[in-house]
Order: sequence, then structure tokens, then C-alpha cells
Amino acid sequence: MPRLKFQTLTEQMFYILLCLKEECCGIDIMDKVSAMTDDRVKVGSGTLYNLLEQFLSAGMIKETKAEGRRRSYVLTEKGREVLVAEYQRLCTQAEDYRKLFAGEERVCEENACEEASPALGTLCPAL
Amino acid sequence: MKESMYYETFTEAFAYYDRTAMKEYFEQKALEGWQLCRKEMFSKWVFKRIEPKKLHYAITYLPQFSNEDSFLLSENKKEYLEFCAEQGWQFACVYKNMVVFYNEEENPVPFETDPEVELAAIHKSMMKHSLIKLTLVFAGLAGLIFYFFLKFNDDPIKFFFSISGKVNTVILFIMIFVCFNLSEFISYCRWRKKAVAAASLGDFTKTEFSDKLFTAFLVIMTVLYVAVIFITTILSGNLAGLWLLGFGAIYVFLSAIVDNEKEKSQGKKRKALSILSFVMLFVLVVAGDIVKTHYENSDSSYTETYISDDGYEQYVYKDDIPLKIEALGLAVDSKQYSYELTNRKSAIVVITEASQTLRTDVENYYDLPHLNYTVYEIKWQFLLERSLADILNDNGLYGTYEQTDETVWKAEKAYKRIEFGIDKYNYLLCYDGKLVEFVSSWEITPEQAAVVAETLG
Repeated sequence: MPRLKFQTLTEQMFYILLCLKEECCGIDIMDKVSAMTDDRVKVGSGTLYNLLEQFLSAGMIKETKAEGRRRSYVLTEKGREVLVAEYQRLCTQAEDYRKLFAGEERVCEENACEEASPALGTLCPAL
Repeated sequence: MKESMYYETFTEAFAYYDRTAMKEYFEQKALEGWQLCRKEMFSKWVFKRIEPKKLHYAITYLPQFSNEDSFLLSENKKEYLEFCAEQGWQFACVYKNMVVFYNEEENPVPFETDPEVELAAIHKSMMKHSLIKLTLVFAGLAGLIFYFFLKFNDDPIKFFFSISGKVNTVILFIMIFVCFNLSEFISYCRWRKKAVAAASLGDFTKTEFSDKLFTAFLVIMTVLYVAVIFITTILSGNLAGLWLLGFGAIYVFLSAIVDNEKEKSQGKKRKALSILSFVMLFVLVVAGDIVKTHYENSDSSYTETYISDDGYEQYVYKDDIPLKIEALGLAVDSKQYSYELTNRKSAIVVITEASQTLRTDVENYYDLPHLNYTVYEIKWQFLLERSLADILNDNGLYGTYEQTDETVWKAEKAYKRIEFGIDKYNYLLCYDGKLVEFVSSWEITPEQAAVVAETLG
């Protein structure tokens, strides 16, 4: 089922919005996201530019200042709501995971995964 | 190799959305020592000479811009390019709303990192690009169909004689334009379906263009073209269509040779086929008109000429017309007359036009009789009734046709023309499968009408 625009966020969307919790220049977002995620998530120039334009059109961010050709942005109230909604969705997912695997996780911790439940399989890497 | 700033143009045709093929082509060119500078019309790419090296290329789509100028003149262009330069992506060129970047770093951060965002941009750009072209095709087609309808409505008989040339041009236009653009659009739709599914899982998909689809369209269009030529030739009786069929066969033969060139890239082949198609279209339209004119020329030829009182050259014909004034019982000197006959034939209509007119240098010109007539043999009853209705309704400002005694003319129906209250000795006669327009310079007697009916009816 296709995702409604911004109903759920991709990782890149999520981290861009996260960076704009405080005012930030568009160009610096790429480095910030990389640093925040330890290089796990990288945002390409084309993707970042497109997403900033889309967030602006959707009213999720606003332009705060322009120094020469460098524009800065910050989250709007709507952007915060979207970010919070996404955070809650991720927490709900994590919680659902914990409910299902909580018992097996404790066993795994106690037995250092050597006697881990076969059901866990590769879901429970050696700790 | 010493770097020198000189340029070279290479021709390579790509589907508008085919970023994978473009990227691979530009990167290969960089390894050969060419760096992309700009795009020109008709699939031409201009490169400048560099040291051969590995460059990464990225093609991105900015649907918010409608053409190169709107991008190059936009206020945000410089900011955008600086943005991209932060990760080493340098601007190469722009074409419509497609922008090409290159990067000299060994492992640059990819230009696009979110497949869904990229797909949305490609889709918007492609819709603009394709819809404009396809709208032009179908608008043109609708316009031509409406034109044909108007022409048929205006004069159905004349329409059938001129159908061949018009339809040939239309079919060729469709053949060339639709083949290229429709196959691009359909290939895009197929690729997009796969790409959307992959993007939802966070994966990019290489673009694909189906050359087989293009070839399939070409074959279908060619078969249609040959069929239409046969049909219009039979309908119009105009053998020009068969000559054009010969040109079509040459086109198909040459297309097959180009397509089978194993060493040439698909882009070069498409380019060659485009050029071949336009050349053949030009040849067919020009040659078609020449041949068509030849076949539509009058069967008659003049036997002598003279100069009239007003200084113009006049022609005298001595064709064997079906009905002469002499046959109607009037004594005339045939040397004073020009007898002209024209025949046009098709599967539906045969038109015979004949006239016996006086030379303008004859004494008592206004006292001597003359006549002319046109016989329409129409095989389709509805067309005959339609033609009759058109003639009766025509020229309402100058006169009208009034029904007259058909028994005199031994006809099913008979009408005479009255202009400004004056009997013009102009008759419209309906016989079985025939319409006859008969014009004389004197009032026809019943006996003469019977001769007309026997000869022309």
C-alpha cells in the first residue's frame, strides 16, 4: 500500500527534520545527519534539496534567514507534530517488538545466547 | 596526454527518463577523455577534451522548471549548485528539466539517496515531457480527422478522389512520431511499476528502455500503412498510392538494415532511424504530389492554339465527347468548336466532364449554340443522394434548383436552375446510379431531351 506523503517518514526525512529542531543552514544538514548517525545515514545533495523544498511547501519547516546564497531553516509547529508522530510510531513498533520477544531476550541475556530460543534465530545476536 | 580545451559533438539518443544509460555513457566517455559540457537538439551531446579519468555522473530531474532557461535564470540556481558542490557534485549541463552533475571523488555520496523522492521527481518530469508530445500527436490527429470530416461533408465526391494523398501524409506522420514517443512512454510506465515497488523497500532500480517495443510499433505501423495505401488506392482510383507503397517498402528495407547493425549502439540506431524517417517523409510527400498530379491530369490534349482578342493563348481540343450538338439535330461547323473531355475514375465514382464550346475568334459568337455536361456515376446509393442534396442546396445566393417534368428527360428526377428569375437552361437530372448536370445555351426541346437521356442517362 503506497505511503501517504509524510504520513510515515523515511530515515532521511526523519533525520533532516531532527536536524532542524534548531535553526540550521541547509548545507550543514548533510554533515549533521552523518555525524548524528555515525555515517549510517547519508543524505545526497539532490535528495536533501528536494526534501527541503517539499517540507517548505508542506509547511513543516520555514526559512529563517538567507546569508548570501545560504538559506537557514527551522522546524515549524506542524513539522514538530509530524516528527513527534513518527517518533511515537517508531516507539510503538519497538514496544510491540519488546512485548513479543521480551521473555526470550531475558533468557538470551542470562545464557549469553548460547541457549537462545531457536525461534529467535538471528534476531538475537551474541551479546 | 596534454589537456587541451577543444570540443567534440557525439550523437546518442536516450529515452528521457533513462538515467542509467545516460550515466553509463557519460562515465565511459570520461574514461576515453571526454567531459560533458552541454546538450543540443536532436540527441547531440557536446564534450570537451580532458585527461582520461574516472568520473561519477548523476542525472537528476527538477520538475519545477519547465525548460533550461527557467533553471538557469532562477534565483535559487546558484544556491542549488553550491549545495551540490558541498559533496563534490559539479554542474555539467541542463536539458529541459533534467540536470547532469559529475563528481571527481573516488567514492562520493550518491546524489540521490532516497528512491521514493527521486521517483516522484522523475515521474513529474516524465509526465510533463510525454504528455506534451502525446497531446500534440492526438490533437493533430483529431484535427486531421475533423478536417477530413469537413471535406467529406463539403463535397463527398471530390473527397474520395483526393483521399489518397491526405491519408498517406497522416499515416506517415503518425508512424514516425508515435513510434518513438509512445514506445518511450510505455517503456517508462513498465519500468516505473517495478521501480515503485523497489523504492517502497528503499531500493533504486536501473532504468530500462525497450527497443523491441519500438520495433514492434514500427512493424504494426508499417503494416497499417500498406493496408491503408491499398484501400485508398482502390477508393480513389489514384495509382499514386502504389508508387508510394514502393517508397514505403524501401523505407522498411533500409530501417531493417539500420536496425541490424550490430556494432552501433541503440541510441545511434534510433537516431539513424529518425533521420531516415524524416527523409522518407519528405521524399514521399514531394514525390507523392508529383505522381498524384500526373495521374489526375486530364486525358485530353489540345490540337491547336490561337490568340484571343484579349491577348491570351487559347487551346482547341478535338476529343471524342459522348454527346455533341450535332447529335441534337443542330447544324454547326465543327471547325468553330473545341471538344474537351475529362475522365476521372475510382472504385466508387466515375466523373465524365465534357464540353463543346466555341472558339472566341468566331463571328456571331453569341448567336451560336454551345453546351457542357458532367456525368457522375456513383455506385453507392447514399452517396448519390447525398451529392444530389448538396448540389440542390448549393449556391443559394445566386439561384435555386426547381423541380421540373422528369418524363421529358426520361429521368427519375429532374431539376432546372433559376438565377435571378431567369431560366439558365441548366438541368440536374437523376438516373439510376447517375447524376447529370447538363448546361446548354438554348432551350432544349423534348426531342433533344430524349437524345440526352439516351446518351447520358
